[in-house]
Amino acid sequence: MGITEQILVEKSQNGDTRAFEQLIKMHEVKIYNLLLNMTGNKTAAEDFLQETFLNAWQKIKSFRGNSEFSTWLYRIAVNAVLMKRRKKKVLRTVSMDAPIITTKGEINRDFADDWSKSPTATLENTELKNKLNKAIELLPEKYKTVLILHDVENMNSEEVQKILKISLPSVKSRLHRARLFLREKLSGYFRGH
Amino acid sequence: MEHKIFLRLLSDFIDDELDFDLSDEFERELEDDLCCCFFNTFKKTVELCHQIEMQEVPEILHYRIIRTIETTPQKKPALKTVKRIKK
Repeated sequence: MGITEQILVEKSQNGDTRAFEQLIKMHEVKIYNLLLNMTGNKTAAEDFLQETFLNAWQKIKSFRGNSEFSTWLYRIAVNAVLMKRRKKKVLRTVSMDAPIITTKGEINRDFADDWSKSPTATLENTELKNKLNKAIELLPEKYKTVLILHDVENMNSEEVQKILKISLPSVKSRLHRARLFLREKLSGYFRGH
Repeated sequence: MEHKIFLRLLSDFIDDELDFDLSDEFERELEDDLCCCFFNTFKKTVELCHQIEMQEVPEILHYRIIRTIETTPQKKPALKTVKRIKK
């Protein structure tokens, strides 16, 4: 935590709303985008962003600085979404086991078209962009959160581990399976074209 | 290297987390067309995720949050719970 941020946290802990506003400005874009990607819904992301900062403001006196302030904030945001999902008991089953390997233990030829150098393999291609967002949305929650934090918000595995409080091998395994799932969905898009 | 091991190592290779020997072996596997195609599309998928653009927070929302904070009292710090040890 930088000195400026540390001072802002201390002032916020003493009830200074202006200092907390500065902290909001420092972190709101990243947290908002995390929530947008997690929910796939603008209104829900806005509600969760408000809930996150309101929770953080109310509990900031309990923040002891054992972790980065941003890690603490991210944890509040992720927990807010997960808690709501648990309450709703959304049971969505998406198979994460893409049939990539043949019985002989080889990569399935169907999956081998190389679309990576296609001129349409860019996010300027709105169709592909939508396909990617849709695929992320389809991911089961535990895979989705890891993928967003690591590959969309560009955190390293250790940072993700601290936010989600899971082991490093779990972070890596969930990330890998999420990436395989997305690759399969994008391959499906290119096969259809 | 078997394809299933190759698949398992994809993320570690992309994230530069493979040790030298395995990395070498992995690179040799990329000479195989199927593996190379799979690797390229896997890597491209990760690159596309990195390219997802950040969206700005709507100004109205920002000020709504500030207004809510200004009218919301803070909670007292949570006390550390001390477990009683049975004698």
